[in-house]
Amino acid sequence: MRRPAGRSCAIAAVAVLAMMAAACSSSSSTATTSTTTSTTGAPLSGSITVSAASSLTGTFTQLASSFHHVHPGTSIAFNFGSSGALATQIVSGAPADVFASASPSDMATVQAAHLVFGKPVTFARNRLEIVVKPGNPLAIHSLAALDKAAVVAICVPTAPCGSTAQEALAKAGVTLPTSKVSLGADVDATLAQVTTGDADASIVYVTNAATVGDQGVAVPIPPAQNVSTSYPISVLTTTTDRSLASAWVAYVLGPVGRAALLRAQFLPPG
Amino acid sequence: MGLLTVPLIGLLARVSWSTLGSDLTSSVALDALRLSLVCSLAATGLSVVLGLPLAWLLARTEFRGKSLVRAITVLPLVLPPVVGGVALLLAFGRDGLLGRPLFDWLGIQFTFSTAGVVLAETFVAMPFLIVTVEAALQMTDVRFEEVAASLGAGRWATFRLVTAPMIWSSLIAGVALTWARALGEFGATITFAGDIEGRTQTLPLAVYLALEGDERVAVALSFLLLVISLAVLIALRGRWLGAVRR
Repeated sequence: MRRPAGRSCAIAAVAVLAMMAAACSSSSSTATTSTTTSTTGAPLSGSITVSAASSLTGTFTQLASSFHHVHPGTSIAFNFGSSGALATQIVSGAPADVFASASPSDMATVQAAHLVFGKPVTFARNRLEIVVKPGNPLAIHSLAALDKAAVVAICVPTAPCGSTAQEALAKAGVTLPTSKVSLGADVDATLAQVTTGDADASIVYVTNAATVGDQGVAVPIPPAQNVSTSYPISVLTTTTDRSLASAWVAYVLGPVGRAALLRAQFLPPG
Repeated sequence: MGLLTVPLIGLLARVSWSTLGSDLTSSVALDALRLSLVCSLAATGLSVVLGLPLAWLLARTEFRGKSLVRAITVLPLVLPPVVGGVALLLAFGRDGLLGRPLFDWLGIQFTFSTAGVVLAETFVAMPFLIVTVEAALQMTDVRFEEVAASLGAGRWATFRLVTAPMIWSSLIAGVALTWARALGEFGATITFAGDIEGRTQTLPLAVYLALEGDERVAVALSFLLLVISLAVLIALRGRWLGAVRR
């Protein structure tokens, strides 16, 4: 029986390279802990997990790093995703300390399961925007013009960006045939279908459209057709560090948090 | 053993038996099932057509760069599926290496199409067929084929009448594995072909999206996939890689 020597070696080499690549590309987002120093009141330390809507990825990551400058003994791990999925996870027992949702209804789901500590506070609002390919080759300037697109990416209806997108389309009197609609699990995946993929247009938040750079063009939706969504935040009863969780919520609601949210093009909660 | 059985038992325990029928016959479920079956069978067929000659080349011939070719054919086996999807996008997307000329000159677009699903599934599943058949070919005695050739049989006749019957068991096992892998493909499909109901939303994608809001339907669809997988395993009845029956 012939068994060429090169075969097992080649397979082993490929397997090792693949595992190394996979290991190197995965990264953890927790900040490193160091000595605690006190700035105001008792020194804060410990670590918490914050489940937040994916539209908050950029802003919350920035805030976490400035929070860490103020409270070096702390570490915040984020779990970003679609608010509907996050609410389901929390209700099923996922150990999160804080929940920041992109819609009041997903927060209500968690409240109904008696997992919310105190009352949720609205800290921001967001509206929708269309994002198309660079240069807007199909000249899409409104929701009604979306029928020129071969594929439109929209979030799943269980995500706040998906349900608000359906509302906006209904307000504009536009019906997109199912064969043209590609669903994204959350708003980041939906935007990626235009910026990285071949979708012609997507309906995402204004805050996502603000980050596209030269990978896409934002097309505003007039207020008459636009739909806004409110973001409530709350500490959860399952928190393992109530003081740190409350401190984080206070930070988001405070002047630094408000400024960061406005810079990212969120609307104030008012 | 517990690691393998407890999740399966957990799934079975959560199936809503009373609504199972209606959950599985909703339009979303039927569309997903139809797409999954059509695409996985097409991907399996394509894998056999393209993979058999490649397996034969790797087992029976010597050429320069053979270990590299072999490593490349095995690569999709170890590559994370979503990475495979990104690679396909960069090759066959509208702005891709091959995708741009295909779209500009022939108007062909693979992304967001059923053909794209078949392409993604073939990419991840074909190595299964190649590896299985190559292993089987290496275990058969090449002298049978040499005798057939000396008796005047052409290459195709030799393959059809001498080689194929000898590797039949492994070929069947390879085809079944390839089909099961294609049926279960998720990462490459959702990245490359998107998620369009009726056009690219296969069963695994439908489960993923149903999980976001309708756990009952997600569990029902998962149960369906589990039943299909078990049926394949039972049909194979222990005939796995490399087994040669005479």
